[in-house]
Amino acid sequence: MIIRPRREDHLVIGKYTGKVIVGVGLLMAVPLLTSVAFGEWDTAVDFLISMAVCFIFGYGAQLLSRTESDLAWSHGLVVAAGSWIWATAIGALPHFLSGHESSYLDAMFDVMSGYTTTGLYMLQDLDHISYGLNMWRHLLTYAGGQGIVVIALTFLFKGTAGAYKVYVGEGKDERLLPNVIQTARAIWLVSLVYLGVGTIALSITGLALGQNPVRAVLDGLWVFMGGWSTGGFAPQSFNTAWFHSISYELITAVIFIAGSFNFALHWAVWTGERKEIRRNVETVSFAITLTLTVLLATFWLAKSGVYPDAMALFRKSFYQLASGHTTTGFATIYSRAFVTQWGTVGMLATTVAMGIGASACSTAGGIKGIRVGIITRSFVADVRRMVAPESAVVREKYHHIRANWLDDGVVKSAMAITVAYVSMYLLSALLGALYGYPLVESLFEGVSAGSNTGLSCGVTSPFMPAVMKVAYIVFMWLGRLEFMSVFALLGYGISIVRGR
Amino acid sequence: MAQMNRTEGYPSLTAREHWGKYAAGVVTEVVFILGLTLMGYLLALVAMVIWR
Repeated sequence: MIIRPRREDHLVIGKYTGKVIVGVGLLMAVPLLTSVAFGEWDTAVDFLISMAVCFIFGYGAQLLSRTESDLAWSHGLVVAAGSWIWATAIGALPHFLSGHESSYLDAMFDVMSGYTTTGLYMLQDLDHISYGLNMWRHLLTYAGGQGIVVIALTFLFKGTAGAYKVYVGEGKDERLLPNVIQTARAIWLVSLVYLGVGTIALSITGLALGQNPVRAVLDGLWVFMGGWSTGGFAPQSFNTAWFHSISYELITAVIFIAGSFNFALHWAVWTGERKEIRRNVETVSFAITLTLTVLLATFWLAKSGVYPDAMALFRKSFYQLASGHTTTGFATIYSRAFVTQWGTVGMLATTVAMGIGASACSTAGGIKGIRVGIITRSFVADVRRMVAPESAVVREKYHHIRANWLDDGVVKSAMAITVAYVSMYLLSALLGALYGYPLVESLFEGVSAGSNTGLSCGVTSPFMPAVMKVAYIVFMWLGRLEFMSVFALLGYGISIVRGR
Repeated sequence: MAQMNRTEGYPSLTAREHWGKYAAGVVTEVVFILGLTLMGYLLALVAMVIWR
């Protein structure tokens, strides 16, 4: 029997969702100040209107949902999934008001892509948008990488018991420190230190490349945000290819690979456990699958004779593959070059890299290295059991922060989520094929959306069918929240309609 | 003396005594990533030797 939610359930969910919406409104203060600083008054008005809408909805929801009850687990999942939809619907206002989007759906696509750190976009004439809107795009992806709820946790939530339930709902289920608020702050500390170091390195490189100081710093900041969050947004339509600089490529590669590491790994390495980086199942799995996919693409491209020398081959092959595997989406080749130059093998190697993705509890998407590592180890354990004497007890361990036993529950959970991701990837490929796109291209683009990568072979555009835009929005959302929160939200909806 | 967290009574995450460890952590991560990048360059070299 399905139990209909009580009034108290709605109140708790409304209260916490309201807090997150207020958080989105507060975030808009940054692009608002940027617009004012550069005298972009039209953009400033767009942000003022959008902030007002956020505060009306956010505080309105809290006012209508006054309750002293704390969140239960199911509430936390529903708040996490629901907040992303509300934050997308309202966060799309500045995009839409800018006049650079052809519809509100396109604006929502771009904002969901930003929050989920995907990087696909519909925005038109990117090279001529305002500083304020550029700041908002990159802030969206930086904040989305942290997790919208982590932001709210850090600044707006007073309790910790309920807060942890929302934090888990957003797909970050590791505590770096015993206290969840301290965990959220540690995540911020790691991100802010890299923000400082990365922005300075990119700004200096930009200056050396001849950019004017203001633009060098802004591009440095924005490209850092796009890289660290593994979002892949850049201020130019040519993405990082615009800089034509190996230094810029190396620095951005360091930033996005570091951004794809598990925050628990960062924290372990930063607190003295430096061996963890070469023992952790996620970094080991990432190093192996990155090597294999780079090997496949590099050998194929060398055989095809696309690039004239080893340096050119390395710069194109490693960068695209590492960007895809970390689910960043920075690119130094044109979208259509995947089809016209890289061919089927190059595209499939990139698709596999994107599909696997990087680390759990990071800014990255995809199946995640920890699941690939766990499933591989369970196969190894099965083989060992088959060749071992019948009386032998074979138990396998994997290392993630500490040694963990590989029990059936862990393997089943990893398999279930992997099957969910693979099903989503296949569904996205099928949908693209139904709309007339070649299968390899629709698989590439669908995996890119579902794994929150953002590399494009040219399928994503304002001319894409509306059904595919909606489907990609859902795939980005599902992929980022790793399904469970979204299923909980669906279950909540069904229980309202059919519960007793 | 370590800067203390006012409400919870243990050294703040940003206390100066942690800075050295944090810097060493950043360096470790960057070196690891540059190692992966070097692997990419070596693969490109080998591929060019084989196919050209």
